[in-house]
Amino acid sequence: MHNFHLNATTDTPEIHFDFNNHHLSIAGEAYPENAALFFHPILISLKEYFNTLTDATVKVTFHLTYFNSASTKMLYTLFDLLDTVAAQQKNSITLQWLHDEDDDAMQEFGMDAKSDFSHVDFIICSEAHAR
Amino acid sequence: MCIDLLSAFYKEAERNGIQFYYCGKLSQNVIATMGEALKLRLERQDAKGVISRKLFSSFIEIMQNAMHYSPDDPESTGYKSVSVAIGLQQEGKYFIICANLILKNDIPRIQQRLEQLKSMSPDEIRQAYRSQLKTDNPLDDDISKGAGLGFLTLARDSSSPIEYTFADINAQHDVSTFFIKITI
Repeated sequence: MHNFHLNATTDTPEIHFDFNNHHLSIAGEAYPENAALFFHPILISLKEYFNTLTDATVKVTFHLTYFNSASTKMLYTLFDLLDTVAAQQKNSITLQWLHDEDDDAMQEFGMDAKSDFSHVDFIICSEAHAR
Repeated sequence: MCIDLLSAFYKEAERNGIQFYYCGKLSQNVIATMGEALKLRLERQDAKGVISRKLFSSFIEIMQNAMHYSPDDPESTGYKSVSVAIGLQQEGKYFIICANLILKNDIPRIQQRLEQLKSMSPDEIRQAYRSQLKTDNPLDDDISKGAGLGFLTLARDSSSPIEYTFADINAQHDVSTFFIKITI
């Protein structure tokens, strides 16, 4: 399956899905004009990938420094998809939620998500990183 | 024309604590460009990380709200208009004031939503935010494309209740002006 890549823009994050190595990453800021429209192809490509998946360990890395409310909703849609896949016995998903060192709100968001999705293995970690 | 107009304008803005002001066409490009400029300015002023992040977040939510709700400016050739000011009050708190057009039909729903938020404690706001996030359909409420999460995000980041008002342009018009003020 082909990898999926989008460069970061001012209002959208970098998306890098390395399907062959089962490593997916999303990093940057997310406040596009229409979050549903922006995330739609991303969700589609993930669904296609997960359909081919058996017996795999997938690593997902998020390092977002800002997302607007509409993108927050889409993140939860994405987490929900990951959680459904992780609930299937043969796959496991580790989600690394990186937040800037002093960003307590981002850390709290990760922890809340961790408590909302039980099948994905959420790892919350801070990264010393100038904003 | 008075060549000194800008300094008069600047002094008046400064007297009111206003640091950043825009009035004109509203688009995602304008929002992103202003957002970047605001970030740089906050960095220079050394606003603490948390204040700077809340201010940026509130700015984006307010502006995108305006973009999604407001009808085209009737005096324009098919675009939306906005006025926004960001400032620092004497007691050291930042504020954002935004004015945009809305359809009169939308007033009761916006009013109801904002009144509801005013009566909630920070903890209740947090709970409501969490439960709103978990509701299934992200597009079930067409009044707000963030499914009500936009106002909750603003309320969460604001240090005092959201202030707002509506002003009639004239009685016949089906649009009014919506003013909102957030204090961080």
